[in-house]
Amino acid sequence: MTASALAMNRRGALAALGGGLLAGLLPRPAEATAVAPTAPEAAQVFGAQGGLDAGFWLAAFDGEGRRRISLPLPARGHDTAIDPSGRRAVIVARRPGRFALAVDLASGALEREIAAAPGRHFYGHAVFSPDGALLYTTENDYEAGLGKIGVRDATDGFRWLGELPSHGVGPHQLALLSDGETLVVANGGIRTHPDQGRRKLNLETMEPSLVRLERGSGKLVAARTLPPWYHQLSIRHIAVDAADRVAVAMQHEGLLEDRVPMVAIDRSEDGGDGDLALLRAPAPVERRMRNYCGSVCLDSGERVMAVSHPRGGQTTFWSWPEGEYLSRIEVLDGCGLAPAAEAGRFWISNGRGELILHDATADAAAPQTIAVDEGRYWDNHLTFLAGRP
Amino acid sequence: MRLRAAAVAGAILLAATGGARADEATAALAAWLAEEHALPRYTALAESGASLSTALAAHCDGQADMAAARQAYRQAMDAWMAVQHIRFGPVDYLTRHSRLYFWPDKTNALGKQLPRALKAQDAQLLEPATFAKTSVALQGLPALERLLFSDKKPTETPYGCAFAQAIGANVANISAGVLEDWRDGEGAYAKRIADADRSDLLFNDSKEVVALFFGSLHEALRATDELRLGRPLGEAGGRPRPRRAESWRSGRSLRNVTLLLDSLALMVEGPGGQGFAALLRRRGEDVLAERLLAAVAQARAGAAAIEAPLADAVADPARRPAVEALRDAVRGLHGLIATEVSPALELWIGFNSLDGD
Repeated sequence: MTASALAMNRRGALAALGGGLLAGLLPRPAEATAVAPTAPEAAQVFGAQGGLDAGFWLAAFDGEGRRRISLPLPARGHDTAIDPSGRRAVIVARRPGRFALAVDLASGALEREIAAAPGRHFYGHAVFSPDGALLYTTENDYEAGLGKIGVRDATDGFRWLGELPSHGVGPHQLALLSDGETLVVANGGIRTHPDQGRRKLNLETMEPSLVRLERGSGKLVAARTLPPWYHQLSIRHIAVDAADRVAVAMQHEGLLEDRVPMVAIDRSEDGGDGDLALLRAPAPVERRMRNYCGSVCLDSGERVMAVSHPRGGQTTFWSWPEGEYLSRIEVLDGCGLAPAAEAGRFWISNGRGELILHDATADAAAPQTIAVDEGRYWDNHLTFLAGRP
Repeated sequence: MRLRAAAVAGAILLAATGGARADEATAALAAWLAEEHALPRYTALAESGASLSTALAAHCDGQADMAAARQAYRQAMDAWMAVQHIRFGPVDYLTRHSRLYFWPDKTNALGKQLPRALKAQDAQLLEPATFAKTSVALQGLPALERLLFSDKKPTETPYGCAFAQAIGANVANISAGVLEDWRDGEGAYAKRIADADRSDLLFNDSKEVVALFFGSLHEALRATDELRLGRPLGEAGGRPRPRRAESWRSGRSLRNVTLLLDSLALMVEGPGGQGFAALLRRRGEDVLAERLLAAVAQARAGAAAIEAPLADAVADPARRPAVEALRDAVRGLHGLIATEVSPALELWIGFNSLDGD
């Protein structure tokens, strides 16, 4: 595990996972037990799951495909943030959900429910400050239609401290830059309101942006936008490397028949002109993206970017930081992505309950299915937690 | 819940892009689902939408009574229940599905917004172009049900009736638009499906089309289990919630379930050997095909065994067990589809590709 990969993932080591019981809103407390507690040093991937019959969970698997944690959720979860010490994880509800759960990774027990503030809902992504003391979540002030970054005190029961403007509409994924002070936020640009379900209210006028802001003051540092003819490209998911370049995966809200770039790099830290570099792949590969990227991540060596396209049933790989298209594999309904410990390798999860390991640097390497969680599907995102050395 | 944990080589192909071609039976099933399942239902929906618009205009002009308006609503709902399970394609453009049928309304958006709109009496709101962009909760059939079946008789006021008329025109427009996009012109969705194995413009192959319908089948059953039956039944050990039943005001909650199951059953049974059961048999899965057909029959029998209205049945100790039995049957059916039929047909339910984030 390289230092840069640690910086990229902002995760530390982790302790063993034990059983945990949930109270209150959770449906089936009896199932909230860890399945296979193993050595504390093992690396793990975390992700939200759903049951083919019913139920939702936060699950963690180790590199051998053993389930380490299985924690029931009150509804669909989205992404998981792990604090830099590796002691706790927070899983956030999928939009427009209003819950997040903090999980103590030493015991595997539910530590606390975190509720959305009045008039706010979560968008599904969160990040901890470098010292683990603060939790930042993307949120919607849905009456005003403004994006917010909720700030909570992770040292005091995740008490709500206030919020920052996201300087855009529909903030989705967020990350911290290497200075530990600058947040980078993907403002998808799409306005929604819980009274209208998941309906998108402003597709004609949407203005997505990639924003950098000071986490202390909320002050806007820089905003990158797309050329006006690409304004229906929603900037949703990001990954940041050690040099603060940002990988950007987008979703096109226009016609399915449009063919537009779906992946971009913000290389402004290299002294570029500040525009997003829009990346292209061969036409058949772009068409198979079905105008949709589910998630993006960089490998632990920061030489390969992976982008998932669940609607097209493929995952694509690109050179990093050059952004040249490299290869693709078929992964039906594959969406979750996380770097594996070894450079060039990725964890991929899909709607068939499969956890797949793929080496994107080896020529014609076949992806390996490491585990099949029968009866469950993996939801959109995976998060990697490095093992303790 | 079983967990297979082994370093198995993935069943994932490093296929070249495009070029994949489905087998003949799959291509035939895709064509049948488009031409014989979707298109006739969208045609019926467009016709009932047009009739609804005409009937509501006549009612507000004093040329037709309330009974005629309600009857037109019932026919439109019948047509909708037969096709609401299809959530991809033209009905997905322009938020048409939600605009036609904003449901379930878990935050009671309609109950909050409709009285406000009726009180404001904004004539501009009812202009077709404006109305099509107003809150989805106000635009479609659930709002019309409140107007036509509420005890407060909102359509007795001129604005209330004009509101109902605006919904009728909107439903007619949307349903006509969906039909046109499926049926007409070079870019017709049905044509794209027919070309699925020759062009990769919209689909990789016709198997992708079949998988979309298969996902619709599963999702509609899951929604019936959790929402149409589960919500009115209430939490386990809790009290029944009759007013959470779909369409309870017009007393058609059970009819909705019956029509939906009829429509889904046809996708499975496929008269003429076209359905998902026949596809199972072609793969040598005769036993599973029989189990699937039996599970469908059990669900339909379960619906037939309930004495309507559903909203009363959930709260009646004598009739409630029949509703619970129906929910169990529907749950068993979608469980069978997800856990056994899906892998047997290699048609994967797209949990991540259905509604992204």
